[in-house]
Amino acid sequence: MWQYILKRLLLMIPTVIGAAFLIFFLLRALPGDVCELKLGGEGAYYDEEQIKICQQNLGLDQPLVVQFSDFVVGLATFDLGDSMWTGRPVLEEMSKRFELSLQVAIMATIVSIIIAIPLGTLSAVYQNTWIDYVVRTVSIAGIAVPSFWLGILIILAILSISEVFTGSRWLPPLDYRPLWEDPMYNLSMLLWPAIATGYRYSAVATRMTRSSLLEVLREDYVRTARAKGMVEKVIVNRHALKNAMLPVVTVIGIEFAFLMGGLVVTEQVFNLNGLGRLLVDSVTFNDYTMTQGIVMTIVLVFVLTNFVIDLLYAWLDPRIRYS
Amino acid sequence: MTDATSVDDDVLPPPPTIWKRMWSFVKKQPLGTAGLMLVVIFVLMAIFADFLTTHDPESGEFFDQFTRPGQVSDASGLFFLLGADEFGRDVFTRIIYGARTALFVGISCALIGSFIGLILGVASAYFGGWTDTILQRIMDILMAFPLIILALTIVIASRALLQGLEVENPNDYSIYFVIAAITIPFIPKCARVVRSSALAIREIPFIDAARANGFSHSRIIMRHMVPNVMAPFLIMLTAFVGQAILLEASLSFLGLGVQEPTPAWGLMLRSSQEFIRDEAFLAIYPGLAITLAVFGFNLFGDAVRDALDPRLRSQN
Repeated sequence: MWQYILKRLLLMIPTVIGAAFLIFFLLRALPGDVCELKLGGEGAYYDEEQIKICQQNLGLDQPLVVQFSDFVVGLATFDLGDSMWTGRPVLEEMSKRFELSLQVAIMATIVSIIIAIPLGTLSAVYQNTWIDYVVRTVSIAGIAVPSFWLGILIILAILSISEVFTGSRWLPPLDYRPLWEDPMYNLSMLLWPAIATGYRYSAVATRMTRSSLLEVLREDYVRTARAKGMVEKVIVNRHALKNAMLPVVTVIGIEFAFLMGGLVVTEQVFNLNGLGRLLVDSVTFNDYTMTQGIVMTIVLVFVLTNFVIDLLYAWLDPRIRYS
Repeated sequence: MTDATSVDDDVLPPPPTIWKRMWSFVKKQPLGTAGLMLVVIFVLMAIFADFLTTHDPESGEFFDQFTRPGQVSDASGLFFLLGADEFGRDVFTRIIYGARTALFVGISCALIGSFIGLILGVASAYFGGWTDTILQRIMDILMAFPLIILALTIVIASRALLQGLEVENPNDYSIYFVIAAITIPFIPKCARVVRSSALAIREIPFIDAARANGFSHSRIIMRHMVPNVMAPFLIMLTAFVGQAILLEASLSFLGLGVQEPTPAWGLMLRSSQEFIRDEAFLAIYPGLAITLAVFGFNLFGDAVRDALDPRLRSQN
């Protein structure tokens, strides 16, 4: 077991370095220079001298190998350098936003669990009835609806509902306050993006709950429980659901990893100053160091989450053994 | 000694005609048929956009700005079925032409991505050894990125590339870079799935027989292995189209995909955000178009998967 964990962790290192390599060379090795983009981006005039100074300041006059090894060493020591746009350390800029994104991601996961498990259970228990069809349509639609459009619809709904009830149009607040400082304010701001993302991500989990529960309900031990005259509710809730949860946990875990990427769009809709927004901004401003930093952070979270899910899977199901 | 095959009729029943097979698909997969119909509608919209619309998709008159849906503009006397946007362009026309953009991106990404994935997956399984190890490590690296993050990174890199090439109108090329950005993350996904099927195929003796015949590697891969992994390939292909449409819309919504004035659904939603307080209608229809298109392709894709992969059929 420990050997397996160690092996997986070690295998992660080349993957992450490879990802760093990919990002680095995508941004650096192509023709076109950061400085040219920065100085001449809006068609402004610049001369060779300015470009040289700019390159020196950013360390771009060094050989690529040196630059790359600096980047990887920086990654290993959690020093991601300074933002090319604001000049402040990347890590400092990121940490402010990370909190917000993480909270939305966790809330969205909770929303998706609250939607998925009851709906999936209903759908399985009432298989091939109208309840099942409604749930399945809702969940297929969930995959098709873009989360940013759902976000816009939620904002529209908030606008018109608040107008009906209070007479004035209310919009969620824009500046972030941590949950522990002002819970109501915080939730009134972050609940909506969590619902928009959570609904979308619940779709896959709902389908997984349904199919997994259907399989378990056909097992012998469920038949035994029925034969003993046990109440159907108890059979489903106590006996079947527990065993059916295994693949659902995996799916929810995988989605949590994807959430970090998926939030990019939702944050844009709700004007949230999160990590995804920062990424889009830094891409727009050609801020290469910041882009690298954020992308690598997301990759790390993604790879680590997948690893934890694998471990969790074995921990939940003793039948699975590592080799 | 009687010949066992000449009992009653040694003639097989005639193979079902294409119409019969289509009818049996419709009967077995009502949802998939509905999806297919949606897909056909969008394809027709894209092909016949010129005949279905009366307005110019890329420019409008400023005084028609924000004409309400279903109203005739006072200024120009033109009718706007779904209203006019902030430049006085007809929303209906832009949605119809937007189908062209969406389907062009969606279908080309799905085709290119799954085809490269198919070749790499089969080659990886066929050659094994070092080729397999190296290819799989590269796929691992690509898979370490959430899809949209990798796409975003490719978009920024492509902008640097354009800057370096000093082309005249960089915006004209944006759509091709969007296609590249969406296609590349699809490759490892398809390669993985195809490889696992191809590994099983390689163990079947007919591959050894082909080798013994002295066929070239490329002939064995293309003629003997590829046809046998068509099922997972087609499943991935159909699943990718919906995903690609959604991704293109997301990238355009972020301002990093297709650029103005090209009609694209994500782009329309992006500009609608600014006027959300008073001109809510602008945000409704493009989103509906994305949802219906993705819904159609997903339903159809699910049906294809059910039809091609009997193992998955019982689960859904």
